[in-house]
Amino acid sequence: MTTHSPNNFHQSYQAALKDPTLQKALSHAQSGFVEKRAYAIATVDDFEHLKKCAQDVKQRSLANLGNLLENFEHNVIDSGGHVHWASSAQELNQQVIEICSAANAQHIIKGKSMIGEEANLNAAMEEAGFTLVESDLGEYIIQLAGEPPSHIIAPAIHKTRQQVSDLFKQYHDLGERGLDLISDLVNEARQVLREAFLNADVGITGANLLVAENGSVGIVTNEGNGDLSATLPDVHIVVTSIEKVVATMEDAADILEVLARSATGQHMSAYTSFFNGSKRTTDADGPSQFHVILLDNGRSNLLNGPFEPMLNCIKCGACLNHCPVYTNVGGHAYGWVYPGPMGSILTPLLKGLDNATPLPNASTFCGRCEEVCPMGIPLPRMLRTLREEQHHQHLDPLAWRFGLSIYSWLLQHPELYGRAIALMRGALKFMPKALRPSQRRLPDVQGDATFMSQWQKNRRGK
Amino acid sequence: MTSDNPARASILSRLRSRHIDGGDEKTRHLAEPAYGNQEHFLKQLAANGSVAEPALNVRGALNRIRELSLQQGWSVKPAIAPGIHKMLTDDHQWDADKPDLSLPESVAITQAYCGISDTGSIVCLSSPDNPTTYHFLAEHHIVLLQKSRIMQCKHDVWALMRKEQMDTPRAINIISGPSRTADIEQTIQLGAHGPRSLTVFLINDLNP
Repeated sequence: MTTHSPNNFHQSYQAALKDPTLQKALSHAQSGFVEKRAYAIATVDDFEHLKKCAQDVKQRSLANLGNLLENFEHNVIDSGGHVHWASSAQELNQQVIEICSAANAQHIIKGKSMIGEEANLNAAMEEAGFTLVESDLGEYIIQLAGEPPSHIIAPAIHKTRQQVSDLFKQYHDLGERGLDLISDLVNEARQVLREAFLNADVGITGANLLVAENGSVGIVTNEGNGDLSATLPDVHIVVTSIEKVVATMEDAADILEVLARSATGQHMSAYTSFFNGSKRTTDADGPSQFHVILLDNGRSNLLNGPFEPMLNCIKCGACLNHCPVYTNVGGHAYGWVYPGPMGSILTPLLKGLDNATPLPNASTFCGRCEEVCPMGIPLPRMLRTLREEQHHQHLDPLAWRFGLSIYSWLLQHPELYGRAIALMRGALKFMPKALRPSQRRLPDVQGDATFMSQWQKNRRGK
Repeated sequence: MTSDNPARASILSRLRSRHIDGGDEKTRHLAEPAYGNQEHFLKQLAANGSVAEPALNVRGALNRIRELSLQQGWSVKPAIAPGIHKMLTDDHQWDADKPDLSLPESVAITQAYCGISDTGSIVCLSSPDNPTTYHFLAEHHIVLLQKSRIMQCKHDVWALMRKEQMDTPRAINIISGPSRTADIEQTIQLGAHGPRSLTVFLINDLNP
């Protein structure tokens, strides 16, 4: 197995292509996500209009981010909550640890959060001595397997039912019980995690939206694990990032119109909840402490620059599901928590281009990602900009730079270019099959001569 | 809060230094909520995997729930949200020790604030009368919804809340079907962590 790092993309994708179990697991994604999304979009009146409304909301929010965050903070405090600000992942982890320590917490239940993944929160919590259990089924599976997520909304998409069954056999006290059906596996996880919910001192969740006008935190799930994590424990901590804030509940609704349809092909996910502050004096349930941690981690530097559109991303995963590279190599090949086209841009932006050099090239530029992105993010354009940036910073491989300089020189000398092409044509014609690259299909040589020489000949003939 | 201030100040100053303008802060609140179509609501509700039942009033709904529970093998001692229970002060057949919501086949009965026809959703607001836990912990969730309160879309729900001068509750739960997961091989399985079934009673008159 190759080391999990964006810079190992070449080794990782080759291993992924040769892994039959992974290939089998990835085959489910196609029908699961792509067809359901297409159906959901076909059954609404005007999805393009809904996209336009959601994009307008983001544009207005990003233009006013500082004020909205301050309003949000004011309203969270007003409803009995606390807001914390974190410039880096380390700061976020430290704040979560401080809140848990102050609450004398031991057991922590966690809902799915990409910000938690970005900060590597679980490792930090375990190091600090807390017992943390992931409650989203997919996240729970990969927590048992000790792996990072391979998809932003279906983190265990790379696992087959057999692999999940083996993990449960290894970690749960099953006795004689077999877990052959998917329903058996889901029920098993439900039993085990129900205990974890009821025993938890602290619940950690992510957020899909933050609403400035009333300080509410919007969480979208299908399992209901986010709601249980936010309701049962005495302390609720929301780990989120600054670009998720919108001005009003109407703005939040506009984004929700495109989120579930693009993500899972549902008109609405089973549970869309807005949580507002701590338990009220007369309430029978709810947390007595409500904390929101706002992470920047490099996002504020993207504002008003060529990569600002990346802050429009609502993490629906549509670009992953439609990407010919992602659907063949899976998420782990990308080497960090964000895979697919959005990850190929976000990873270099957040971790540095030199730490993710191959990723901007992990694209065929087919353009499907931009076509299906509900937020209209020009993903191919940004990948191209990153490639240019990479070239300027001399980060692309030496052989590649050398090849490009020869190509560029040849283009400036048409006569020699013609001869070189004729030479290549000959080489390609007689190249043995074994020497041809395995990942790329070269076209068979057509006709008797190069296009240019035939053109010249025909012109002379006239 | 004080330990957070350096990060707060630096994040806000970075955001401010990169702004072109202050942005448009116009509020987008709707003046009047629009009501939705009941037929469409029922169609979308079924598409979400929920079941609809008609009832004249709360008592009628509860009697039908008892029948349903016997038929389906659900617990006949449902956890009734305090707000509904209060309406039945003269009817002691529903009095029970607080049932354990986490038992197999447990049933919780709660009250919806309104419905949404576009997506076949019900909206529940948390309060002492309608605790959030009831919507999520039981195996079977039953919601009473007044027929005349089906709104068109989410925006209309917010407009209705403003019109009725509701304070922002601790939790607004928009529920669109039973709990589900597709995390194993993209196969949908109901009852991941929350209820395995959702039954919505459309009630003519939300009185006993």
